[in-house]
Amino acid sequence: MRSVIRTSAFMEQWLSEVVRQPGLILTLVVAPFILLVAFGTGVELGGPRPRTVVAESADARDSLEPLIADLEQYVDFRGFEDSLLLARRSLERGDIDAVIVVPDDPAQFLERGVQVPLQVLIGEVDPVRRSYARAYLRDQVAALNQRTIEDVVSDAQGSVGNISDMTAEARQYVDLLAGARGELEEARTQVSELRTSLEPLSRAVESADSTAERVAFFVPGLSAAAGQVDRLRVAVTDLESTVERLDTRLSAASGGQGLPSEQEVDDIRAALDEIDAIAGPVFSVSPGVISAPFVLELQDVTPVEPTFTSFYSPGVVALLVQHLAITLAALTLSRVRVLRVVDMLRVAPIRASEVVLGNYIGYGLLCGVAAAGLIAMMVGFLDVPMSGSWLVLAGTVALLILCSLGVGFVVSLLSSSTQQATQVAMLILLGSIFFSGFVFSIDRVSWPARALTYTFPGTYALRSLQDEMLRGLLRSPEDLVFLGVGSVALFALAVWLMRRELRPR
Amino acid sequence: MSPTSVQSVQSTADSPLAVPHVLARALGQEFAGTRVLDGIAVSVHPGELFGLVGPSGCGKTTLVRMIVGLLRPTNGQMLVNGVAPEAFSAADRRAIGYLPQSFSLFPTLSLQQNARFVAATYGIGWWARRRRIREVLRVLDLWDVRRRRADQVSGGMQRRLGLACALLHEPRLLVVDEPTAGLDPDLRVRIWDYLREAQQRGTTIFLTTQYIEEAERCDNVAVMREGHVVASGSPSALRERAAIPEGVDIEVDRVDAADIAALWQLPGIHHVRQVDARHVRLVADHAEHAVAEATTVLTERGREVSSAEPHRPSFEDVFRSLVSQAPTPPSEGA
Repeated sequence: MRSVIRTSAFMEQWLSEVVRQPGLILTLVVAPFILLVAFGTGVELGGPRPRTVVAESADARDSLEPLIADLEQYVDFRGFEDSLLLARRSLERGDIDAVIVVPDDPAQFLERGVQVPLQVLIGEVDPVRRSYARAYLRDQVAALNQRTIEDVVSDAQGSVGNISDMTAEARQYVDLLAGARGELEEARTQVSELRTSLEPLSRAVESADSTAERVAFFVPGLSAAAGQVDRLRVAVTDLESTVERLDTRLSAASGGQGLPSEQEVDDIRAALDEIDAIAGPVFSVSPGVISAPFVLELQDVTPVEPTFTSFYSPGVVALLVQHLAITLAALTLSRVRVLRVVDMLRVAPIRASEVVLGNYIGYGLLCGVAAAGLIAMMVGFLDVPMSGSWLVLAGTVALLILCSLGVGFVVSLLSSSTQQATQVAMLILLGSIFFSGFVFSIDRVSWPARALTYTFPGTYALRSLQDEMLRGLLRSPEDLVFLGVGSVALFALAVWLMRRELRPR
Repeated sequence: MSPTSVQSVQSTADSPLAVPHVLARALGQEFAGTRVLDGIAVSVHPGELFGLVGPSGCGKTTLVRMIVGLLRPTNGQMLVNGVAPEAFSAADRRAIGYLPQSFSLFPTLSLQQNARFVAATYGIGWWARRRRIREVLRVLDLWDVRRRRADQVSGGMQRRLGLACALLHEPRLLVVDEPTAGLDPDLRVRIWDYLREAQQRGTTIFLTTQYIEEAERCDNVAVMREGHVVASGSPSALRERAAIPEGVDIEVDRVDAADIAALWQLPGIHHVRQVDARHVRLVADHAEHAVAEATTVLTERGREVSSAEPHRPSFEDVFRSLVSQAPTPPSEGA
């Protein structure tokens, strides 16, 4: 019974201190709330649309209008700049994020069969933003290329016109040719008309073939379509040759000799059918499909659609609770030492385990209240979904608090001053932000630095809280085991260190 | 230097064979190679009010910290209630109350909350705690300010709060380190009254003070200098050992040269001086004896003695005398 009373001494002392210090409650509980709200409502998802200026000569401006219209979909277009030097200065001053240098006449490059170089200047020193800018701009150039291909294909399709109309016209002359049996003059006339009707078809197919070759050069995935166009060109050329031979034969014929047989007329019809069969799939496909044959269909199997806020909020709570517990516990003994209360404890009949346990209960209650408030606000105010079990969530938070208190007490007992304890607590927070998986995924941290990630209680809690809240299942139950084992080990270590602290010097 | 042995005089009816509450033998303490206590021998018996006097930095607090178990002796032996402090059980600790030299509680808690905290660390149950805190705070005149924060009360109140906390669990031995340091004279008197009350309730008290005159209020005293006990015993015994001449002022209807010559003849008289036509001042071994003998001589010579007042030297003079008589402690490393 005496042990219970002695243990309760610290709980009462802490509750009294908390009640007497509204500022302390503000710092410990309300401040993290404000941080969480600021985080949830103030941080925007996704990368920025870079503020971009296009540097080029005024003469080329008109020719760039279509390009700029495209670019504006991806960047925050701030206008043109004649002088590259001035554009660079704006970039260096941070007035803009990127300068796109466009050649005066992009068409010249295409005509020479080479890609148009789009030089982009960036002035970012943040490696993350630099990396992001590179990836973003590369993505945007790819999109621009796609749009260009789409336009080219569309133009090509437009210029080709309707192949089936052309073959239909040719069929009319073939039918008339078939009806002119024995009539040499009539047959000559129809073959001549047929030959003339094939000329636009031949030109269109030649043009399409040339375009397809170019597109296939830029987009390897389009080589099959280009092959089809080539087949079409061969089919049209063959038909033209057949009709030309027939025309030549009829010109030299006299009497009933040299007239086309039924078989020859059927062969011409078959050739026209083949042209329709080849051209149909190639020219009926949308330019958008040809320029981007693959489309991403992302299916999310998670029970909720996580937003930026809902993904990061459990991590914020884990780190805040960890920091709160570590800081409170880390400052305990240094405060007790500074106030010389430690001498009273050394003289009193109180055991080290009672001192540690009493503080655990006092601080644990305080951290528990703060964590409950943070989670309630996270779910109620920031609309973070709770897909899993509240019991598991509570258990995770409880283990996080116990483990963090253990870390804090060990820091406190090993530190020789308040400043040292505070510094260590801050370093743990800093390390947690970088290595707990909050900012960077743990997979991105290579060994041996990754070993650091497993030294922070927040690492295990962050993963568990995210899983439990967003996925509704605990994918790594061993995280809770680590937290539990860590809590017990740290408590034992804290008791041992406290016993050493209370011994006569 | 051989240890100075102090065998205190029993001030209560306790048996002389009772186990001393504090017993130090040839006790020494070193900090980083510097010897701060050497050859200390002290014995404090149940019911006694024992004072350790000496200037600041002479080792009083170090000895106190060894008694309550905060420091382990470098050499020698320390027994408190028959047990070495490093082997104190919870019961042994409950038998000791400790008032450190400086305020050692939570400044942001009220006086009552601090008292509750200390009582809980001693395992005092809730109901008993309430009763005991009320009793002690009332005795020490702190009840009316019990809800004020400790850092918002005077130094005197903080000192009394520390004393209250040391008395809460009704210890058999109360160890108080400079309880009156920095307090005004009135408050010092009140603190001494509280200590006397505690002693009357049967508490043995071991205290330190740098106010030499306070030593005279103790049953037994040890005088310290530079980590050594240079003299010890009851205040009267120390006064005798110091052998400082005492003064007597006599007022008569008139005095002449023959009267002065007669006074010079008295035993134990060191000096006689006529101050004016009606006043004489004597310097003698024992003022009390000199008063009686001088009054008799002057009356026999037909003089009318209006007053004869002995003037004892202050205990500070006694302290100085004892310190000056003591051999100089060996220098460090000698």
